Amino acid sequence: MGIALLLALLLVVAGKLFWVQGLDPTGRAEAAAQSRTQTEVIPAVRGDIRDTNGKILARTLQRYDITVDQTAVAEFTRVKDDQSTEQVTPTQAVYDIADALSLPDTEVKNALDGDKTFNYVARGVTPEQYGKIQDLNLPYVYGQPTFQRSYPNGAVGGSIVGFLGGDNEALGGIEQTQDEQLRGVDGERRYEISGDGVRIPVAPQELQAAEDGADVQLSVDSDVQYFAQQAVSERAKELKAEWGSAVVMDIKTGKVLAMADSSTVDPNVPGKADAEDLGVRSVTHAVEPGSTQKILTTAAVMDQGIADPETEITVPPNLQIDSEKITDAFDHGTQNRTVAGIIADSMNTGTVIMGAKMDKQTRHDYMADFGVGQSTGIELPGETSGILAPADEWDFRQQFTVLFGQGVSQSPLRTASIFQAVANDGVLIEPRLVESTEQADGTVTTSEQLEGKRVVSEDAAQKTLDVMETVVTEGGAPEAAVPGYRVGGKTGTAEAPSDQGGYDGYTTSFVGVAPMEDPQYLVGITLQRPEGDVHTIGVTETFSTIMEQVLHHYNVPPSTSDPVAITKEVPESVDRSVTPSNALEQTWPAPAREETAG
Amino acid sequence: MSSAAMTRPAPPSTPGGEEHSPQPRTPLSVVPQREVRRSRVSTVVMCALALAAALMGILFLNIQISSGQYRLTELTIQERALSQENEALTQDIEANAAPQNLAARANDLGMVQAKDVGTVELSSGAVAAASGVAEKGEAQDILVPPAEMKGSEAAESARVAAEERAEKRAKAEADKKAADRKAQQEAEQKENLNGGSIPAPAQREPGQ
Repeated sequence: MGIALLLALLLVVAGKLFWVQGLDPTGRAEAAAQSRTQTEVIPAVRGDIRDTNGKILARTLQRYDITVDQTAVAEFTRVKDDQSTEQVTPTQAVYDIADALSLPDTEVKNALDGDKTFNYVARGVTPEQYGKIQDLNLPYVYGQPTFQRSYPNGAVGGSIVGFLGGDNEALGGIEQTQDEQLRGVDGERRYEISGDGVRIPVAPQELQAAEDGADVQLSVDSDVQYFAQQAVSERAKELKAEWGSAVVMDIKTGKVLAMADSSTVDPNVPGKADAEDLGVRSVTHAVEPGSTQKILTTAAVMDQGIADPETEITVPPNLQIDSEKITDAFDHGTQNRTVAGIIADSMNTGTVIMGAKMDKQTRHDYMADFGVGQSTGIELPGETSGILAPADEWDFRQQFTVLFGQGVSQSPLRTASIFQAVANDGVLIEPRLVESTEQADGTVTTSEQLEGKRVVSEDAAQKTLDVMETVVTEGGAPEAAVPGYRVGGKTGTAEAPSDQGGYDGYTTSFVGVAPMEDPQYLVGITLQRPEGDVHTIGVTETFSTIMEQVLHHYNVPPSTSDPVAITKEVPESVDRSVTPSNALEQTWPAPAREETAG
Repeated sequence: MSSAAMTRPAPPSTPGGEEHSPQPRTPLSVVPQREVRRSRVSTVVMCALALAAALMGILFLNIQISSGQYRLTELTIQERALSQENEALTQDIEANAAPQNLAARANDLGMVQAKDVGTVELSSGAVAAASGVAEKGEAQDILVPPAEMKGSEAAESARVAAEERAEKRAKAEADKKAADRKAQQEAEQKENLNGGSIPAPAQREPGQ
């Protein structure tokens, strides 16, 4: 009898259990499970950005966003550690939060006032500050784990590294272009907690681990980057230039070692930077290259077998082609110049005489082969491709001016890459920044070395290098010399197009390579609208400063051979019959071509 | 008592009889079975004890797991605190190693850029290029600002130091200007004013 009663009672209990847990018509079991279950997003840690030596350029730090449910802000009873209780008014809470976060009281009060269920009190607070907030036990204040990027080098290479926006959205530089690699995949954790917030150990839990982002290693060298930045800033400040930029490149691989801007963003505080400073100007700005482009023309002329560095050409004081007059930056009579002499003193006239031996399309094709009018594909946002109009759209004057870098525009990086091709035996390798990526599991993927593209023959490239060396040894850029090393390069001065149309001010530049016996490094400098006389606003000294540092930094042994010696001018054999109007028709004996296999 | 009676040897039947004389054996009889109530009680006790032990065991295990969980939480917090400290220290190292901060501190120490690097021809042992002697110059004006990195004391102090340097530089420049002006004024005052106190209006130099 007693047993039967027991069984009946048991049945009732079991039935109720089934009713509540199994059928759950009122949703209580679910609600209970809900309130116990805690879902936590495990944010993937964004990968680091490192320089070529592994130095950290961007790292991720653990931070917390402090948020509030404004509708829940009310007086509450706080249980202290010793189990005593105290009443906490919202006003008291404001003071406590303000103290913990070192914020003004009013700011915290404004954040807590209102009827929003979600509002930020502070973003990106340190774990230490978050710990203080946690100790306050405020039932309406929450902490969300988040990350903050830290950029220890700040403005050194700031625009290359890039930065994140307020919602950790990648907005510039490598951060933006390599976002997919760096970002990773967020994970999730579900578990049950007891009333006092400690996890219930035997309760089921699900864990979806986060996949942390990959680290990205750049070819940039922080030390070279700093030095270039300091040097170009000094020059830009001295001449009150709008901006200055420098590119340092490894000639054999096309790797970019530095891209400096005179003023740039500190990625820690991108909001403080001018919009102008957010990008890498060597990449985003297209400028008229000016005379540095004469090296492209020279390489093309050599490649076509039109002339050699020693080929003598008679250069009149100016050129009169139909109604167009082409002059030089200095006055001279009719001279008998070698090609090296023409380039060494940067004569527009002589450059046009030799360049015009190629037809318009050929001139265009050489420029296009060197990448003019195309972006380099470097891993940075906002790259300009510059402007190279098709040959049949050139106006009458433009077909000649493109030979000395007017009527065409390109980024300073493209100008640098033209010199890279010449110095690399005529093989162009597009510049690159990303050296390798390392996944969270340690797998390293090295970026593939881009295959070069032959633009001019090895012979033509070598001859062009000889011309570039003459520019420094005998021509207009003696200040570019670096003690102990053979260097070569070319100056450039172009008029800067004004926003209002027409031109105002100049763009001065110098691109050079060293050591000449086997060029390894390239430095290209551009200065926009420097103030002062056109003859004193050059950047050759800045080039020398940076190149010297680069050669020493990479332990390049000093040159042991003597520089090439090419006469600039042979005055005794001037052809007096050459006039400004017939100079383009003059001919000269074609250079003897070396018999080369292939 | 009964058992004692049972085991007691039977008395000799004849006085003075020999020890070896055969004796008739006491006939065996069935000993009445004792009641087994006691063993049932012990089973219940055993069961109860086992149950209690099991419960205690489970309780103990549970306590162990729970306290393990608390310990885990504690250690996690500790681990977090340590990794945070580590993070902050790493940040400080990186701030100190930033090139512009290094250069600024080298400047403060009076260090200057090395001049031409000397080279020695290894084959002949001859000095191929003599190294230049560094000259003491004015402190370089570092134009790359230090990083405004949040949460690092080293970065903060580098920033403060840079500001102080800029102030000092500005002050030095202002002082120099003031000194120049003073010198100019003194020079002007030394001019012959022909007994008057107001200098004659200066003539503009061509090209000024």
